[in-house]
Amino acid sequence: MKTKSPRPAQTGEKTVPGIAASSRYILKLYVAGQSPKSINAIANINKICKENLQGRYELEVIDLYQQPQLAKGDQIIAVPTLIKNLPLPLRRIIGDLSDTERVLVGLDIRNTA
Amino acid sequence: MHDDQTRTGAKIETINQGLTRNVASLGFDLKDLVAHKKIVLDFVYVERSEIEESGEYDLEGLFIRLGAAIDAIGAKRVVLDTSESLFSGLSNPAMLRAEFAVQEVVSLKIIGQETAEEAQLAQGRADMGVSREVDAKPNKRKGVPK
Repeated sequence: MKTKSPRPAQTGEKTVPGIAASSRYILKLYVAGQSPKSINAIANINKICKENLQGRYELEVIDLYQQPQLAKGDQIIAVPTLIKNLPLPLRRIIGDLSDTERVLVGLDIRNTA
Repeated sequence: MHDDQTRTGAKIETINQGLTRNVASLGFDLKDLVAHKKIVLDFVYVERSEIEESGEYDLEGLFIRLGAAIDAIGAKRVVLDTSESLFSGLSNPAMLRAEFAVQEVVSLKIIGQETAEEAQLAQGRADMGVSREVDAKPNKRKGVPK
């Protein structure tokens, strides 16, 4: 049982050991005001981070109504957008993050099922 | 992180140079217009491979950017060229159409884009084909129930 297979034998249920399992995560969540999508996205990402990235993530929440100039620099189109700056590769997860599986795949925490 | 931003920036720079060159052939000096705050250029970059979708979203980010660009110079008109890049980059065309409809930047052309990519290929669209003009009212949508 000490084999370090990069892919678990079963489909998509286990976390992937390796780089992603130990990396520090730098995340930015862009929202627009207090819309239901924004509020859901904030709640969902907080929960996902606590459950999967305990102690090794930084999450910055940016309200584009307060700081519209930041939308251009990070090429924000859809809202909410979660940006994974680190670990590379950069990834954008758009939506209210209600589909946890897709978020975990996007964050490279879980293999594509 | 910086690497990616540099790459995106470089790509936008290349596109702006091409645009500037093409518009110059029509007798407009884009650099001069930008310097005198007569025009603002923004480039929307959608890279499908780096996007994952999870749950509902809308295009508020795009409209916030449009609003900021309009406010920066008090623009009276906005030209979008082209919305095809959005349709190919995001997987929910029905939502995109609804978004544009709500924004009143809708045109028959947008609605007709069932196969935007094919149309693009067939046309071999020049990189500066100015496709449509819309009135500048970016913030009208705030508070519209979805």
